[in-house]
Amino acid sequence: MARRVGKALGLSSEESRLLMARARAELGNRNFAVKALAFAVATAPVVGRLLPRRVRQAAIRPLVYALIPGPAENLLYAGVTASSSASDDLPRPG
Amino acid sequence: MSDSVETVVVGSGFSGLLIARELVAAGREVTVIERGSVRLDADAEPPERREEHTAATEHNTEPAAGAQHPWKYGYAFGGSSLLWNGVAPRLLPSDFEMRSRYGIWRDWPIGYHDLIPFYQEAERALNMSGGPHELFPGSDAYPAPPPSPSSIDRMLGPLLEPFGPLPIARPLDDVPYPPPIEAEGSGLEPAACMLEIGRRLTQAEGFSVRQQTVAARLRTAARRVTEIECVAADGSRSSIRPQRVVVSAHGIENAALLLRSGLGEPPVGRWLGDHTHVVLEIELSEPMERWSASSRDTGISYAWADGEWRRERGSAIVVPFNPGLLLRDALVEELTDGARGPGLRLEMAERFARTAVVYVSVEDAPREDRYLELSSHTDRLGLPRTRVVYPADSDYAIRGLSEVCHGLEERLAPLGARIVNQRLGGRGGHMLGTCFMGPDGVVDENLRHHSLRNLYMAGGSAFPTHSALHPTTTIAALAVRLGRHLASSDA
Repeated sequence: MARRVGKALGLSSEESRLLMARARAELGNRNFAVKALAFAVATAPVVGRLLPRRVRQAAIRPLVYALIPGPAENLLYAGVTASSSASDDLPRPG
Repeated sequence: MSDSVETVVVGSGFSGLLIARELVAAGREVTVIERGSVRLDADAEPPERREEHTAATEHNTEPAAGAQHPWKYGYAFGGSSLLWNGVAPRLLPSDFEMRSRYGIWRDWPIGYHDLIPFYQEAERALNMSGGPHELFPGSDAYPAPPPSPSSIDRMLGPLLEPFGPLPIARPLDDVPYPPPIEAEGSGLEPAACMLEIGRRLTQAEGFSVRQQTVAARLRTAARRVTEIECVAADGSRSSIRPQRVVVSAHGIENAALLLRSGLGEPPVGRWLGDHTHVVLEIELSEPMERWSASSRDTGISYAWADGEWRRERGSAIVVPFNPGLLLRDALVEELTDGARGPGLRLEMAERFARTAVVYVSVEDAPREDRYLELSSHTDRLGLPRTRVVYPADSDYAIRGLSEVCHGLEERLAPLGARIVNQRLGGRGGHMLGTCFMGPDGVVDENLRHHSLRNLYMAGGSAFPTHSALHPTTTIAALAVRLGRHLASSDA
């Protein structure tokens, strides 16, 4: 599940581990698992498309908010460090 | 139980503790009454966890229908300073002279130049970082150098002159902002400087604090406050016989105490003010090359702060918001629409790099239809709640904001700037004006009540007008001034 979430967001495994560990610590294991499952279902290639847009959005939002609760995580997701340009370190689309 | 005390200070925020600091330094006795608890380790906790929930810390304001406002304050030793984000400019000299310069509202009974030495002492006490600026005479004595300009300051600043470093509390330039997410605590805790003042006071001779206690009512006789009725969080009642009383809570609480005490004749509780902060997301034609910042806010533009036009529209200041664009809402939208993986992330990164975020603080006209009154409902301690009537911003403020929006796109045209989103930012943290100083106000230039000779009303409630600038440093300067005045006069 963690791999799937990380892949959908374009995170490296290290970034994924870092953001998810923090979110899990904040939410608790069970709550985090529920949000991650909802996210995984809503972003699944086939099943996700069967859901109405509104439902997909409602399933995706809680995990995204938990993974990016504030500026530090936001900067990490934007690929920004104090000494690098905004997208230097990001993976390029394949 | 009834105790006799030389000076009682109600409230332990910026104002209360700085007044107490001056009195204790002069060898005077001070007792502070605080609704919340004394927790000197509180700088280790996020603001929302610093307030312990008791009957004394119940937020007992209730909004009037259709005139709601998200008031923000905290009850703990340190008061609302524990919620402070450390932004600490002074007011402009013209902010004290709106009547004589622009023919509107009121002049303050004291001027900017009267306050310079007290500004300087407040800035020393709060360990502020800042630099001299021509708009602010006497601003060359900050204890810490100004914050380094962030990357966004360097990009926008030259186009938004007059632009300069934003005075802030305790920036540590060697700590990146935001901190690495692995780190616990950033060292960028502006409230820590107030807690340090509180910590020292608790160890000082002559200082005492009654925590978890509410100043319920003032009793008066012969033009003096003779007794303060107190209620503790457990419901027990006591009283204090003060020689002098300084009511130094926030603008709502100060007036509410007078209203509860039957001392609420107008203008007490009238002319309540706050600042509307609006966040603007500005799309640029080229991405920012670098990102760097030492704290959340480091620069400020005064391009729309002052001029003859203040007769017609509100003053405004513009502060670049260094954390930049928060991506999560856009990310949710993109994920919902099927975007995934590295391509999605790259798009988000580019959006971040091409968006400058600023916030604008706008001045509104002081208005008599923004006011407080006692409610017929009571709180858990049996005290009347405070009903707050705060209609939406007036056309004066809206015209000021509109001018900034047009002007920003014009000035930032070389960067291909276009405002793509505008939303309300923080509001409700500046409670001003409800016991304003002046001949037609509640207190005189020394913050002494016009009728009660041993009662002083300190804090933001004393502001006759509100400026667009953050009030904290001026509240602190007024507190230092009052503290010295009290220290040098008989109780």
